Amino acid sequence: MYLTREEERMLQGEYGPAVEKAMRVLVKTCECMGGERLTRVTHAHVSGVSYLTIGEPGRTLIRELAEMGARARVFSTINPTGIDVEKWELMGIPRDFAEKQLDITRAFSKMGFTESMTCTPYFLRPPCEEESLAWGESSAVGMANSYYGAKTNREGGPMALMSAITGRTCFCGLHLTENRRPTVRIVLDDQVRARLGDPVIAGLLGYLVGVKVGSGVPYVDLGENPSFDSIKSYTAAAGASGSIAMSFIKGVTPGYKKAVREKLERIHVGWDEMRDLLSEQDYSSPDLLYVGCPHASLEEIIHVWRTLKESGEASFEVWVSTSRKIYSDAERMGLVEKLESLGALVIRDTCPIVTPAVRRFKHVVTTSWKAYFYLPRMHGIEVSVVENRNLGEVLCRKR
Amino acid sequence: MQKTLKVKVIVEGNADGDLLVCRDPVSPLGDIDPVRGVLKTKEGEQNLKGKVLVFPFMRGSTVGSYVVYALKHYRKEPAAIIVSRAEPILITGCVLAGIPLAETVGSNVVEEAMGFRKARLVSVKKILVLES
Repeated sequence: MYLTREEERMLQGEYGPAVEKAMRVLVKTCECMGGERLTRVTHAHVSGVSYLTIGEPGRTLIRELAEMGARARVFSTINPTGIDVEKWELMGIPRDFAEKQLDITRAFSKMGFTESMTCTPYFLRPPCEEESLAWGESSAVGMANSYYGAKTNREGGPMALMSAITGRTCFCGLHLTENRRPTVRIVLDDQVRARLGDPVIAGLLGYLVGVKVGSGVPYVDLGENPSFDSIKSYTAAAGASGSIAMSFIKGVTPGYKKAVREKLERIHVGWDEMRDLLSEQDYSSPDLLYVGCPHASLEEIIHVWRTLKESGEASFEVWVSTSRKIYSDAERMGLVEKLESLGALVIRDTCPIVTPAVRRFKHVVTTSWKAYFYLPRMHGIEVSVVENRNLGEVLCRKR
Repeated sequence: MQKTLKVKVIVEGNADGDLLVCRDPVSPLGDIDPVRGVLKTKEGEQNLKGKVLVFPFMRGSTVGSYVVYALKHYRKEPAAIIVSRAEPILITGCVLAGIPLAETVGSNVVEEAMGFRKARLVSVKKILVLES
């Protein structure tokens, strides 16, 4: 494998033991995947930060790397943790868990990571077209490749951590132009197209594309000028039910025009199958309504507030999870206060998928198909998805 | 009886120990308890410490790398790990923990290792010697 002189020196230990270790991991992994060289990255985003998912093994390694003197060599961010740093008691999280989580978060800070604690790092620093990244977190990877036209593979948490320490990743997969081509065309019927304006329906499409395509690069038409939230919802669901790291979205993904000319295998997604899945959703008696998977945008927060204002305080808990960045925007606009006066809890730094706080609930209603996929698997909770237009109906229903 | 297999060494190191063969892919999060140093198999729990561990490949969550590393932290690590196919989760864990790792070349290591009791990994010669 070809290494630059600087990379050789990293491997020889001239940059300290942490860089040496991280470089060794990268080189060994890259060799096994058939990569011929490494590539520089400008932003590493590390998933697997919650104590709930990585436990003692993760805490141990992250702490030891920090103690070894590891530093983030490039701008680096972290995924949601298991707690809201300020509101964890309000969420019903045990102190012992919170302390262990804070220990992990502190280790990342010590290494120079930005305390982003979000699955939406693109709100903090939108990637440029053609920029090389090393991102974990499947939903963010989908946005980086499909919306921003940046280049990243779906990195595992520990691999992205090695990339943060070295500023490099393996030059393979979606970093190579020849792999950034659609492998399958998604064909929709008119009824689906007519409903894609609701991000929840775009998410449902992503969910079905993930199930049907599994892995690959689908070409998909989300309609004229799809909203940011629709694209976010689609890529998150496709990355959860399948391992889709990139889609070519008509009118959105840089280079989609060139991609469209290729002859491709076609996969149909019809309204009948969407309707079937939607009719299975039972949102009659939730004990938690949850919006913010991936972390809510400002528009999504405004939508919850408007709906809640009309329906009045809900008879069950309402949570909105978002990033610190969007939270501070919402706070400045008075939205956080308004939502909390209507009984909703706005949390940051975490989300129901990776926090133990969600385990006291039995039936969660959400607008996210990613959460629909993960909540039963992570916590054994029953989950139903509600379309945005029916959100008011859910909130109005009193127990 | 003795048999020699060609291997591709991914993490260098020599090892000599009792064989522990697992027929199924290992998902560290769930299958391995790093604190006690055991692998949970259909036949029950097996101690990992000092063994030459053989299985087809690793699967599951990327947290698996941390679990492999934790085996070393709790001083319960196997002497070496030999697989048919190495993938990033396992490589990451083994490099960080310094556990020798090799992949067999042109043979199915699980099938080959069946019936043998001990194994020796000779890193420089790129071989795995199986002994009954």
